Amino acid sequence: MSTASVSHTTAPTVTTPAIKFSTVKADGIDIRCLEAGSGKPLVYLHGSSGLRLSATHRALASNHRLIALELPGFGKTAAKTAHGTARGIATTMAAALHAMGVEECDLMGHSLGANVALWLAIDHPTLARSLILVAPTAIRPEDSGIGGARPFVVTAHKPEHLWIDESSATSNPSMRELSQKLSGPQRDAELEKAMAGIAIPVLALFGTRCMVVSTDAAREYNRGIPKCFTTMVYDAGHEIDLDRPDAVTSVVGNFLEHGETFIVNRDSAMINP
Amino acid sequence: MKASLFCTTRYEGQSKKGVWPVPADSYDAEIAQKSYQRTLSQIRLGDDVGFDYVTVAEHHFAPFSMSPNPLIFAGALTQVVKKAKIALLGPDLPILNPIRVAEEIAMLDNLSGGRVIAGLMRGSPNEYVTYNINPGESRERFQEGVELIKKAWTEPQPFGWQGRYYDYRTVSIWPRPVQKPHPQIFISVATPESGEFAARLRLSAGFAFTTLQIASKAAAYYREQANAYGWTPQPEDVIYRLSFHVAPTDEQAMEELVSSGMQTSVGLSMTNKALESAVAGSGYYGRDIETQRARLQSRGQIEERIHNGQLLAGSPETVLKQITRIRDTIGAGMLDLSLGIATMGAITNRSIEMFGTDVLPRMHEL
Repeated sequence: MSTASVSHTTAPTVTTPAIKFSTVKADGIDIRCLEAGSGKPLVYLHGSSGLRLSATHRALASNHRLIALELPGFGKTAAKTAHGTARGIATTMAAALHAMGVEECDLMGHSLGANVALWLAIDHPTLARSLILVAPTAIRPEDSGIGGARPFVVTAHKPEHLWIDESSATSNPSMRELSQKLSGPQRDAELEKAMAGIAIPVLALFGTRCMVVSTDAAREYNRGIPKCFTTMVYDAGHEIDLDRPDAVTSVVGNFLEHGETFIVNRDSAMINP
Repeated sequence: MKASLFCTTRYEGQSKKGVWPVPADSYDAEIAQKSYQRTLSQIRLGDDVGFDYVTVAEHHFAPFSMSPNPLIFAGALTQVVKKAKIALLGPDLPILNPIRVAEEIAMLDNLSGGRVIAGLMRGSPNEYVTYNINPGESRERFQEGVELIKKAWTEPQPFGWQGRYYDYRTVSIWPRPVQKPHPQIFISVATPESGEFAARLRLSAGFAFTTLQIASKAAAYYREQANAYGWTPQPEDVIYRLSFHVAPTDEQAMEELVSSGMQTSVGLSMTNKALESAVAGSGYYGRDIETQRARLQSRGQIEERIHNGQLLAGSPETVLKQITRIRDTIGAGMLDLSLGIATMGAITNRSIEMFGTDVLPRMHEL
C-alpha cells in the first residue's frame, strides 16, 4: 500500500512584532521610545497628533528595527522650554539616537515630525541614509487651493489601520499650542536654502484630500532637494498612512529597499503562469 | 448656444444585426476606408457651414461606430478642420491608461492650437468587456483617473501616484496642454454620484443616451451640488447630446427618417441584453439603477424621441423651437448633434448644410 503524502497549503501567519517601551535621556529630558522589529534602524518621528502608529509601521517593523521617538512636549515626554522650533527638537532627537547607539538610520517623519526629520538630515548629514517625509508641513504654499464653501470630507480611517495609539487626548491645548509654534512660517527661507544640501534620496508623500497642506507643496520639495521623489497618495487626508496604509507601505517599502531606483517596477504582472 | 457635429463613422457595408460584439466576417476594407472618408467629408462640411465643434467618441467591436480610439481620429481632424473646435466626447477612461489619455489630449491641444474640450467618459456597459475591466469598479477607476489626469496636466514637477487602481512611480508628461490650466473637462452627470463628483471638482456636465425629462432632474441635482461647493455652472458648462435631421419641411424630415430605418434601431448597449444585465448586476449603474437603465433603454418611435428630447427633426423653424425647449429645460449651452441619418449621401449632407446655414445663426443668438 502506498503512502500518499498530502501537502497542505496554509495561509501565511501574520505576526505582529513585539513592542518595547523605554526612555532615553537626551538634553536633560527623558525621551519616550517605542521599538519593534529587527533589522536596519528606521526612525520614526510623529506629527502633532502625538505618537500613533499605523498598519504601515507594523508592516515596516516586520523587516526593520522600528524606533519611534516621542517629541518633547507630546504624550509622556516633557517639553523643553528652550525648544522653540523644529530645528531645536531635531538637535535633541540626534542626541537621543546617539545615546541609543544609532549612528545611521532611515528616517521617517509625519507632518511636524517630517519637519524635524528634515532638520535632522540637514544638521546631521551622516545620520540619515534616506529620508521619508509623510505630509510635511515645512512648506505651505500660499495659494494652496484648499477651501471652498464646502470642505472636503476628511476620510476617516478604519479602526484596523491604527496599530498603536500613545498620543495624549487630542483636546490637550498645550499640545496644539506647541504644534502651532513648531509649525514655523509658511515659507522658511533658511530651511529651503539648507534643503539644497541634502544629498540622500528623499521620498515625500502628500494626500490628495489633505486639509492641512495641498499637494501643490510637493513641487517645492522637488525643486529644493536634489534627489527628491514626491508621491501623491490618492484619497488620503493628512494622516496618510492611517487613511491608506497599504498604499504607503507599498511605496515606502519599495523606497527603503531600492532607494532612488524604486521607480523601476520589479513586480511581476503575469496573470496566469 | 453652440452646436457640435457628431459623425459616428458608421460602416456602410453589411454586418450582422442584433448582436454585440459584431463578427467581422463580412468586413470589407474598401468599404471601411470609404466610410472613414465619408465621415471626414461630412466633418469638413460641418466646419465649412459653421458648426462650432466637431465631436469624436469611443465605441468598440461594432460597425455602428468605427472609432475605438477617438483621439486618433481627433488627431486627423486637427489637420482637417480649420475653424471648428474639437469636442473629445470622449475616451472611456476606466478602460484606458489615464496617463496615456492625459498625454494624448495634451498632444491634441497642441496640434489643434488649443481647440479641444476634454470629455472624460465612463463608457457604455458593453465597453467594459472590450479590455476585460470589471464594470463594478468603473466609477472608482473613473474618479481616480480624472484626478490623476488633472494632476498630470498641471503639476510642473515629476510626481508619483499611489492610487487604488493606478500606481505610477513617476509622471512628468510632455507636451503640456496649450489651454491653461487645461482644456475644459466634461463628464457625464447622469447619475447622482457623477453630479456630486463633477460639483466637487468643478467639472462641466454632459448628457447623452437620455431623455430631457431624466436629464433635467440630473442637471438640477448637479447645479444644487455645485452651489453647495460654492460655484454656479454656466450654460457653457452643459452639453446635451441628441440626434438631428433637418429638411425643407417637417413631413420630408419624417419621411426620410422612417426610410432610413431609425424607427427600428436599438441602442448599442441594449443589443446584448444578457451582457447588459450582467453589467447592471455589478454595480456599474450606481445607486439610481432603475433610472440609468431606463434612459439607456428608451428608444421609442420617432415622434416619441422628439418629445423626449432625443431627436431634433423637421424644418429649420421646427428644429429651432425644439432647441429652445431644450435650452429652457436644462440650460444647455451646447448641443452635441449626431447625424439622424448618417449614410444617405446627399440627404445627410443637405441636413448638415441646412442646419449650419438656417438654424445655427439663430441658435447662436439663444
